Amino acid sequence: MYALNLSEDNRILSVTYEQYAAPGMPVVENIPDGDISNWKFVDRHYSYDPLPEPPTPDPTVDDIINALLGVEE
Amino acid sequence: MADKRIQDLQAASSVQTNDLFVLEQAGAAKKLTGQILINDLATYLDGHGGISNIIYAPPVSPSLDGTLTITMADETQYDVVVKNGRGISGISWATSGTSGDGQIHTGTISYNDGTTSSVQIKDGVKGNTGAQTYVYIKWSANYPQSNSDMTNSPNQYIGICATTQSTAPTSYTSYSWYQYKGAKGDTGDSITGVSQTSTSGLVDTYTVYASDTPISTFNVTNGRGIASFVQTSGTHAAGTTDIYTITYNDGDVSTISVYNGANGLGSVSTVSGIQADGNGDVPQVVSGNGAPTTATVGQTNQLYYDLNNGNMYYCAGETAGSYSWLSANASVSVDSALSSSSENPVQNKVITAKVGTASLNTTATNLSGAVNELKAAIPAPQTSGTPANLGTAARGSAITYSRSDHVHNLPSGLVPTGGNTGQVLAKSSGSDYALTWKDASSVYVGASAPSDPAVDIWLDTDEPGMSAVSSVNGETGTVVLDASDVGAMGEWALLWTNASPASSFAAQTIGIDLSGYDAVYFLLNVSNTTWGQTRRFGGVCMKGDTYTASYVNGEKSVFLREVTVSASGVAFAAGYSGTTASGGSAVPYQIYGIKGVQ
Repeated sequence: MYALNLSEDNRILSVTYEQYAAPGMPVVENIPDGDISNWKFVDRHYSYDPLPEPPTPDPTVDDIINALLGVEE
Repeated sequence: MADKRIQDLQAASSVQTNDLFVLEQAGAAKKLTGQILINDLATYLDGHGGISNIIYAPPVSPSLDGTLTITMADETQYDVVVKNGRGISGISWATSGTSGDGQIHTGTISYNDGTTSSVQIKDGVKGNTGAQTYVYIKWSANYPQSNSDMTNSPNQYIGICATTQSTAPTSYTSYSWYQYKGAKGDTGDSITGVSQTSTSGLVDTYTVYASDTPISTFNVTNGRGIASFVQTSGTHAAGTTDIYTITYNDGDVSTISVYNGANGLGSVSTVSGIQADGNGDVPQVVSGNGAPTTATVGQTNQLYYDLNNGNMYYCAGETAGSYSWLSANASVSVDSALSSSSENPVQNKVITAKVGTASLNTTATNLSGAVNELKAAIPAPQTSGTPANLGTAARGSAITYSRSDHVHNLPSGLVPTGGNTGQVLAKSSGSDYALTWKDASSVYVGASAPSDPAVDIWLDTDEPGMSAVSSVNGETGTVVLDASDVGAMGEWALLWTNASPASSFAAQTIGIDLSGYDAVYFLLNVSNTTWGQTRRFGGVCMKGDTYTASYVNGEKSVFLREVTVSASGVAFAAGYSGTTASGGSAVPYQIYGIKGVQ
C-alpha cells in the first residue's frame, strides 16, 4: 500500500509507503508506472496530465565555441 | 280632401325614388314609383340604349397609348385613349474597383419606350479587424455551484466560454455547462460462449458469442515450445564437450554445451590392500579351525580367527604361494558356541577379549535390537575389589578408568604433592614438567599502594581512567544495559522512504511528527544516465534549521537541494542541476529522525 502527497490541484508530488503516511494522505494499492509527477489523483482515480517538457537551455559560450571549432563532446 | 286642379297642387322640385305616379297603361290605371321612372328616363335620356361592349386595344410600340373602344347599344362607338406609364424592360450591371473595398456597381436600366437610364451602387469601404475571441474549457464533477467546483481535468461536465478576454474567466457563471459523460447505458448482452475458431502458427483466434451471436474476436499467442533437440557437434568422448541445438516452434534457435565426464576407473579392487573375492566382497577376517599355516590363503593385513581357541593372526605377506601368518597377540573367545540361527548369535554368551597378556571378559551378554541393529546391555562392571592392573602407561599417553573409585596413580613427579585449596600449578623453572603449587595472583584496587607484600597486581584508582564507575545512565549497583540506555545515547528511526525515487520531485513538504526528535538525517539520490548508476548523499539538519545539501560528480556537475526541518515535517525546495531547476536532481530518498542530539 502506498500513500500519496498531493498538490492543491491534485497533482502527485511524491509517494511513500503506507506506514509513513501522514494524516489525510490518500492510501492506494497501486501507483502508476513511470514518472508519477505526470499524474493527478481525482476522486480516487488517476488521470494522465503530463507536465510540459522544460525548454531546451540556450547554448553556452563553450557550446558555441566547440561548435565553431568542430569539437564534439 | 276637396277636389283640386293639378295646377293648384304644390309643385315638386325633383323626383324621388319613392314617389308614386298614376298612369294608365294598356287601359288600366296603375301606379308608378319614382325609381322606375328614374331608371327608364335614364335609359332613354342616354340616347344610345346603353353600353353594349368595351374593347381595349393595347399600345403599339413605340407608343405607350392604348385605346378603349366603347360600343353603345345603338352601335355608337366612343374611343377613349388610355395612356400607360413607362415600364422597365431590363437592367444590366458593370463593376469597377476593388471587391469589398468601395467597389462601384453601375446599372443600366432599359425602359419599354426605348429609353435608358443608369444607376450606381458603391460598396462600403473595408471595415476594421474584429476583436479576437478566445474559447476556454473547464470541467466539473457535478453541475458547478461555485468557482471551486471547476477543474482542468476532464470530468462529468464540460464548461465552454467564448470571450475576448485573454485569460480564462475564474467565475463558473462565465461558462456554459453541458453534461460531457452520458448516462449509464443499458446492460449489454451476456456472453453465452467463447470458442476457438481458427489458428495460424502460434496464434489462435477465439470468437465471443452473446446470445449465440458472435460479437467479437480476440487472439491468443501461445508460448514458445521446443520443436527439436539435436546434437550438432561432439563425439561424446570423455573429457570433451558436445553441442546441442534447440529449435523452437517460433523458429528461434539456441544452443547448450554438455561436457562429457571422464570415464570411471572401475570398481573397488582392494580394501586396505585386500582384494575382493569372486563375489566382489573384501573379507577383512577369515576363519578356520586351528592355527593358519603357510598354505592358508590370505592377503596382506588380512586377519585370521582360530575358531578353536579364538586366537587372532594376521597375514604378513605371500611369497611364491607360501603365506606368512603371524600372531596378532590377541584373541576373542566365547564361552560356548555361537548360535548359527539366532539373529543375535552372542546372546547370553560370555565374551573374553585378550590383548597380549591382558584380558577383558564380560558376564553373560544381553543383546537386543531390531534387524540390522545390535544393542548391548553389558552388566555393570566390577565395582569392588582390585581391578586388573593394566600396567603402566608411558608419560603423556591416555589412560582410561573403568571404575569410578579406581585411582590410577600418575607417574611420580608429574604433579607435585601437597598444595592447598585454591592454589594453582605454576612452573617452578624452565625445565620440562617442573611444576609447583602456588597461590593465585592477588589484585588490589585502591588509591594508594597496598601494604600487603603478597599483592601481585595494584590498580591505582588515581590514574586517569582507573576510577570506579559510580553510575551508568543514572543507574547504580549492578547495571545491565538495555534498549532504554542505548536510546538515551542517541536513537535513530527511519521515518519516511520515497516509494518512487526515479520520479521527478517538485518542491514540497513531507509531513512528519518530529516533536520527539532533535534532528533529521536525510538521503538524496543522484542518477547518472551515462553510467547507469545512482549515487546517494545526505546530511544532518537540526530541527529549526535549513541545510543546503550538494553533490559534485566527477564531471564537476553540481546537484543540490535545500532542506528545512520543523516540528511538523521536512520541507524540500526545488532541486538544481547547476543553476537550472531540475525535479530529477537530488531526489529525496529517506528521512531518519535522531534523538539525543544536542
